[in-house]
Amino acid sequence: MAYDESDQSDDGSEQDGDSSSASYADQDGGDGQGDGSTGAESVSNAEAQAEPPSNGDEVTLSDDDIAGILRDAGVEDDGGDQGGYV
Amino acid sequence: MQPGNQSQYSRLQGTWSFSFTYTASGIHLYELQTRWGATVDVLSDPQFQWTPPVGLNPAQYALSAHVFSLQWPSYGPIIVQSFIDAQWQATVGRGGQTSVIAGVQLAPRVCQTLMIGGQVSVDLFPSGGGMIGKIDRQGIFSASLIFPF
Repeated sequence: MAYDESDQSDDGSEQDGDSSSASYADQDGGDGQGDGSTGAESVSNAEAQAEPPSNGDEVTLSDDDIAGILRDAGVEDDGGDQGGYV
Repeated sequence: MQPGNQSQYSRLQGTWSFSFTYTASGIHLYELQTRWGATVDVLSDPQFQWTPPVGLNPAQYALSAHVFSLQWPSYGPIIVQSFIDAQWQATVGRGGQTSVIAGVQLAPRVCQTLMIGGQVSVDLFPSGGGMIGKIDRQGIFSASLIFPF
């Protein structure tokens, strides 16, 4: 899974560029090159393709369920000959 | 209200994409994972904002919202888990340097500000004497995390 970072609006923290072993803690400007003026580090706009939910559950709605949901939502049957809840 | 039938419900079927954002302060991803699985009410929590697509009729909206809220406790934590375990590609630094940071564990760190957004779709279709609703498994999500200094 890959994350794609695109936002550049961070605070100027130092990036050590060691992609093989870096941890997030390595980026805190501890080498003195970061300005540290904002008091915050940021990782922003990391995008991800989420893993599919493992359950994949479907919600089954019976006639009674549907009637109750629509009633609770204040949606009335249109009463037409062909029925319908629209 | 008359009982539904296949013809009626076919008028309600469809697939719609919903956008959402969640904003919180002073929590970490582990906590968010638990929270999304237990206490976040996606339809009423002010930190959770969702936007239905234009064009839904009220009945479609009501049923979609019902499915969305029912599924969120199992779906939401999986989104967070994907952030915890994933490799990150981050841009940090004034010059916009980019570095691939493999295996970073952001979850234990408290976020000063945490914003997660994304899109999920809800599918409704007639089945038997009722309907079936499901959330699309392939949502796209984004996060903005700011950590305390």
